[in-house]
Amino acid sequence: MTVSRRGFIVGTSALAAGAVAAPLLEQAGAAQAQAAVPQQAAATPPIEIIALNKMGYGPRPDDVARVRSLGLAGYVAEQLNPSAIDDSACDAKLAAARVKLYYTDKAGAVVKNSAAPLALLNMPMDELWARYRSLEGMMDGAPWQEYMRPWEEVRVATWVRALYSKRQLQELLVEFWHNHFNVNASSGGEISAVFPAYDRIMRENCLGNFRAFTEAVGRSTAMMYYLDNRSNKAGGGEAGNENYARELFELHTLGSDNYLKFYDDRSKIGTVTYGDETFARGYIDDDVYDAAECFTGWTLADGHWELPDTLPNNGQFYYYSKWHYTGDKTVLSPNGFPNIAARQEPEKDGKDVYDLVCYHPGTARHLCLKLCRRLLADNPPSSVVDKAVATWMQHRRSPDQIKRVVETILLSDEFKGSWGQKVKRPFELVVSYMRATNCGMPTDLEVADGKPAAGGYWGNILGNYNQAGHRLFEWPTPTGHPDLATYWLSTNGMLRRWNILDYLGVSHPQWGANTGLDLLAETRALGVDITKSSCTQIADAWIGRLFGYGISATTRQAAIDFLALKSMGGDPSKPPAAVQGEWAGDTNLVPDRVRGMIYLLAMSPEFQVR
Amino acid sequence: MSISRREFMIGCSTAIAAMAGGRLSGLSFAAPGDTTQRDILLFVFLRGGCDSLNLVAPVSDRDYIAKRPSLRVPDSGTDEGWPIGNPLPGVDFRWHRAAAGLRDLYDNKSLAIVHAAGLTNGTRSHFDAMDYIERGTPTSKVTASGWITRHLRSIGVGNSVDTTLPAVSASGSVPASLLGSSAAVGINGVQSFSVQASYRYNTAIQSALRKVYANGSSAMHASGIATLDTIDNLNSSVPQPEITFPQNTPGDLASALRTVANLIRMDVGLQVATVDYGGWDTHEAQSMPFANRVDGLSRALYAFYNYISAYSQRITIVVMSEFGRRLRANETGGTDHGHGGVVLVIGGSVNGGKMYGSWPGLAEEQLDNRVDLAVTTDYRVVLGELLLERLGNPSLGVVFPGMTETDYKPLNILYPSFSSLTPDFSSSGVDGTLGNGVFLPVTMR
Repeated sequence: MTVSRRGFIVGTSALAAGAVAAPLLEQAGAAQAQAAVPQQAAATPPIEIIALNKMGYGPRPDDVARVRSLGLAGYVAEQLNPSAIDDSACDAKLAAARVKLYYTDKAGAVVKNSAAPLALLNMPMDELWARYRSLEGMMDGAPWQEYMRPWEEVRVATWVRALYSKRQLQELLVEFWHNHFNVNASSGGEISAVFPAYDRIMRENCLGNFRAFTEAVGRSTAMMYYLDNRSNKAGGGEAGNENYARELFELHTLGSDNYLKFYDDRSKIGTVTYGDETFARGYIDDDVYDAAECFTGWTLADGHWELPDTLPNNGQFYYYSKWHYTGDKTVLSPNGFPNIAARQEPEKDGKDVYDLVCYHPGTARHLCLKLCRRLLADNPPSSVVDKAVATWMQHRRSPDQIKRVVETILLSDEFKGSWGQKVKRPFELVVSYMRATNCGMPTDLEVADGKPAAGGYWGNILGNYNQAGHRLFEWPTPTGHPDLATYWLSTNGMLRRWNILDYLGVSHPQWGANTGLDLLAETRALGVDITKSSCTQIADAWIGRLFGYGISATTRQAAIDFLALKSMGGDPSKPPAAVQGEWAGDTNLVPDRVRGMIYLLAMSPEFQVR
Repeated sequence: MSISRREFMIGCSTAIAAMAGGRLSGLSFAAPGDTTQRDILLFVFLRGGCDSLNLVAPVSDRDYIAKRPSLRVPDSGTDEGWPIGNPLPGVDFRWHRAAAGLRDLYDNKSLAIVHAAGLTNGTRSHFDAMDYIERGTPTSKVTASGWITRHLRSIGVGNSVDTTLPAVSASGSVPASLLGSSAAVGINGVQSFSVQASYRYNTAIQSALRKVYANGSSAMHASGIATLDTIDNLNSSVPQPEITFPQNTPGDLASALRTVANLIRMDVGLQVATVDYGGWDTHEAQSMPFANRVDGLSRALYAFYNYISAYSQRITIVVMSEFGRRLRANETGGTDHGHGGVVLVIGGSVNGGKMYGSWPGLAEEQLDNRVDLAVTTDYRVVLGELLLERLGNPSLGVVFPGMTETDYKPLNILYPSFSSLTPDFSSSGVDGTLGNGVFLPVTMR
């Protein structure tokens, strides 16, 4: 295909339409976003479709009727008590998962080739660390794949759960908190080694109390390594490493909107009040420096040469008083005077910092905005954020604080009116497609095509998916994945999200599509027959399955016309058939076109949003 | 203007031949109708806060030696820094040992160093600092468009279809500097850029996609159309074979720069390319990883510059980071977030082999907040000179709203090709969106 520049320009006056879109980016505002809603009222899906897409990873075929009968309030109540939901079907899928571990020695001889079950997800922290130490102890070094196995297992389990778990809201929130308290699990052997334990912290606290959650994260082995606090040793009257303290303020709690940078005179910072309490207006660099001092000595029993010889090397939290700076500190002090006394009991300084940052109203707003952004819209109405903040502050010492906040958000009127205002991230896109089509997870094999090296299907699919910009548990910076559409809408991102669907299809068995995906069987299950039903009927059946509401006439017509190949003379009112230039005897032709139409619908703008 | 591959290759060798005479005229990669000979800008962003004091090190400075007893570039021994000629007065500056490629570019006068440069805003937050820099507004991190976007718009790019790929982010996603630009695309490889949905029906699916993505004006619709346009355009112009860099050029940066080099050769109207190179947040045990990063940067830029040497008169490369790092090494062999950094400017029109700016000193009273290298050159001044002298854009007030005539003290780093232009500090051309950074949620039509 050669298109001259002239031909190209003539052919793409549509780009001018693209250029028109730019002001939308610029003139954005809540008012305009709300004003746009009435125009699309006709295309707003019913509440069960909204709930299944925004409180989880999209409907499975049998979900819609069930949630419709529960109603929104019933479904929210069910999802907010995940432990009461029977998830044995998902557990069985987890037990059946097989993931490849394959490596050779330097001479190319196969050292390990297994497609084994997940074994590390529930392994206690002691054993995860012992496993890591045994890898460290291997002569000539252990293979990288062995180091990465724990992280790999969590990734597989995350996909399996998103795909099959009935605790959809929990899965969505676990993903949210993983991004909020981001660590890059593939950046080091230690973080990967303990990543199943880190994932458990997310699961245990995702609906719990934020103050307890934040401290649990701060004490965790993964975070200790990722943001370096394990080596935060006082020296010269200063903290040894302020990386964790900085991100605790900026990312985990108050957020940079409350960062006031540098003040020579603390008395000029000012205060804010919430109820009858007074707080520092925000944080300055000196707060970060002093908080870093508070966390000196918060480290790990990981065999560091300066730690006592008597200490067991178990990789777990250890407070080493010799590394602690004992002077007084000033952190978020409303009056500017030191508010953390010198020589407090062990760990007390750090716990004081957690109280100060986690109970601050600025943290409430930062976290509630993020939650609303995840659950509603890139730019959620301030009215719903305000309601969430009120719940957050009222319950900031309750064990079920986050659950109450999430409930406030999901039962708000704003939630009901938020359809289509989130672009699905690639993970959400692919999982929602898999759920809608009954596509399974790939199962790795020890030998495929007669080769031990083949059969690593999971990695093939994941590699493609990573290129769409979603790096599950290996986002490099502590911000976590962006939650604004701007990041996900690059041309590269669009192309990758379009292309990944085909990798799950049955058309490339050699690349690992043993996902059980059978789009023709699914088509039959929809009650249409590709030899008897019209192109229009087939397309409409799939629109019902994938969307569950009436999408735009343009997208519908494009799907019908593609299935008929109308531009080549095909007739949409008849079953799909060979058109002129195609050989009618080719039995793959119509199935290919049916699959192509399903891909097209899943590539459409409507399927990219929730 | 339609250039076939054959014609393009001929044009290309003519261009290389013309290099003997110095300047390359706007042969094949100017946009159709573009006779202004604007440079292509390549913006390399070192994300994470590059330790400028160990990249271009003041090795003779007493405070540098005192505050970095072991974590510093030495002036002797096996790790001895490479000497830098024409330094800022009074200090012995040295390149990090791993920066041999940068040293060579500097020594052949293609590279200029601006030290103690950066963002005047005193934030020590990575993410805020990047936002301020990329949006071009040091007092607002929520400006709705990026500085490169406003540059392209103010020279009329992105408002028409004149250039098919005026702005490219070779890192895959589009950075904030290109926020709000309908002209920007993200590409992470030129040959794999095609729809793969159906062996038999790809073309039909692609044209159906064009219909469904033309049916709306949201950012997502626009991106879908831009993606399809990019596919068409690349399919019609990928040169064979793609260039390769030397085997010893490591990492992601080289791969991104290779994409840029290919696009430059492909005559797709490239005006701006951005590339990210991360991994500079060296809080702990910095010595080895920092050396590896510097080595990657140095080798990749050197390889890139050699490969595009035929075009070097029309390319200016700017390398910077969101901030530098703390003067004092921390207790864990690393450095915490600091302030002043270093800006490198590379190109055939750079008056290189020379250091620019003014050195504020490292004594406690000379430091910013008493702990970090101060900023004596606002990064916008360096970019402003580039806009004015090489990119033919006098609208400095539009690109950097709030910058005034008093702020703009150009360092004369670049040989001008638009010497008749005078800077305009009026920001009246900026749409009324400053300070309103909210992103319009995608709405379906």
